[in-house]
Amino acid sequence: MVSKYLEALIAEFSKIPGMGQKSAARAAFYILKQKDSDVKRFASALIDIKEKIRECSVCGGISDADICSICSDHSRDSSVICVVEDEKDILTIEKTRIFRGVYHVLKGVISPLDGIGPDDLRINELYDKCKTGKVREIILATNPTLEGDATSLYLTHKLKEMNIRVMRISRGLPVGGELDFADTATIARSFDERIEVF
Amino acid sequence: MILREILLKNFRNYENQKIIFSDSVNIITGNNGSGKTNIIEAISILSGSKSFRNSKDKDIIKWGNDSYFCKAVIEEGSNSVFESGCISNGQSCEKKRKIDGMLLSASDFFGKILTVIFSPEDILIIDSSPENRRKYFDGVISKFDDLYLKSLMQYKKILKYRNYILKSGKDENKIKKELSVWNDTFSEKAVYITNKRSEFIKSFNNEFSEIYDLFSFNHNNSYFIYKSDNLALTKNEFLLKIEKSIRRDLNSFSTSIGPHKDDFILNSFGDRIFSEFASQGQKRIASVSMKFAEKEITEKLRGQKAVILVDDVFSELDKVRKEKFVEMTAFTNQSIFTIADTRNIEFFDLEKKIINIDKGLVL
Ligand SMILES: Nc1ncnc2c1ncn2[C@@H]1O[C@H](COP(=O)(O)OP(=O)(O)OP(=O)(O)O)[C@@H](O)[C@H]1O
Ligand SMILES: [Mg+2]
Ligand SMILES: [Zn+2]
Repeated sequence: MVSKYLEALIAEFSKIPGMGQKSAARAAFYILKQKDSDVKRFASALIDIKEKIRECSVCGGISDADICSICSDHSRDSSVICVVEDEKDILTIEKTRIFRGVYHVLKGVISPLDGIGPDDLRINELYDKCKTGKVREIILATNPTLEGDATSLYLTHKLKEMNIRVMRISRGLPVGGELDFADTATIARSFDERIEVF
Repeated sequence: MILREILLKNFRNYENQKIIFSDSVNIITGNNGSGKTNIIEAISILSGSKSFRNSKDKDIIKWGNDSYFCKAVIEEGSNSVFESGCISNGQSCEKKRKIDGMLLSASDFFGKILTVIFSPEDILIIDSSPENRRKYFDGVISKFDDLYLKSLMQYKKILKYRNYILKSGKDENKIKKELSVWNDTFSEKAVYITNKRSEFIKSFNNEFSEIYDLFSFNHNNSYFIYKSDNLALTKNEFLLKIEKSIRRDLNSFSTSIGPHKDDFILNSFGDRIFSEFASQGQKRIASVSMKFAEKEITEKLRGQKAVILVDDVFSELDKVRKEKFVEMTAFTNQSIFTIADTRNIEFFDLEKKIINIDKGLVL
């Protein structure tokens, strides 16, 4: 071992999804060659996302304040809610610039083998929003997997009982594919082609 | 389709062996334990099923190695390369499948090489548990119906979820709520599978009855009865039924209704249950006839010729049936026979390629 500090940084980098030993080493050497000030900025960016980023108290997405920039943007239509599995799906859909409503993050998807049932997701929070009578339309954008579809179907039944228009996007997405991997054009198209459930 | 060649690397007792086939009759000969069946097994894996011997991948890897690889060149219009390999880390195996270099999922790889395998174990389809029969018929339907295979896999996944929830030990209301998420999709798949099976068994019987009579030199009036408690139900009727069976499911910690409980029962002479009276030889003939029915149906629906693989079965038939068997395969399809007793070669009175095997090597 040449340096235990270097070793430690490589070990941290290699925990990042998609980062193997080789790219972790490359990244660590890159940091080593940077100016002091650049590295300090990088380090504080790391600490900031952990210390300063919070969960938006309305949608459950990531936010710098109590309420995120999307939920507090009055030009957006808060009567249309797009329901997604996790926080990063919001970023994926925002890139398309086609959706002008707001979001609701479920924080996962129903997955029995992982012990996740309806009660373990942010479903009651969604019902609460719907009960205010201010919600016109729900767009379900869970991934088109068996679990994503079942979660959407479950929500559809409940939301229909509340007389809310429910739409599902997924048609344009590759079967078994996930939002994360779909390109911007595909997602934009699937918003255009959203279909009413039942 | 024609199987041009296969390559085996660290597969059973083969270290690195290429085998080239002729497009008509191929006869693999060699002593007991020389590696004849291993070749058929490799082709069955390349055609996407599990090993037809039901072996685990780790048992297929040549002793002392940690991976196997096999490859086939198939001609159907143009040439395609099929590859299947597996790396073991001691406990589990990672399996990869490719067609023309493209990595595919198990279901996308399944059945693309159309084969019909005759093996001594076929008799178990008639003689053993309903599970074996479901597996067999599901496999046949999946060879020409991708949607069926997909629905079946989804059904099995949801079944696993349901049973997992039922065994979770959570309180009853919570279990009911979690099951309700899946009931709808479960019903949809269940009804689809039941209808497909019931439709399929009719056309299967048409072929089977005729071939069985031909092979047994008798009029048997034999056919399979698809036994299911959910015949001709609509999705909503099934849904109602599964909701009503909740008490039973909770008590038994498992799902009590659905196509995973179905059976296919062979009847002869009207209403006699075949497995209850048939001799060993009659069962052999019936199982051979099933495979011929499979051949006819899959070839018709795929619009392709199957590669016929015959492991040992041939030697178990009597003289007239051997002749009939050759007549029904050798002239119409590419075929690969394994034969330990070389005296049987005389039944192949036509052009043939003899492949002689000894201890995992082609001589
Ligand atoms: N994982 C393995 N590694 C090495 N050798 C193996 C492995 N599995 C099986 N074998 C060997 O392969 C041989 C069996 O091959 P196979 O079943 O193809 O024989 P066969 O020629 O069909 O014989 P028979 O005429 O009895 O049916 C045996 O010699 C066995 O020891
Ligand atoms: Mg053998
Ligand atoms: Zn928000």
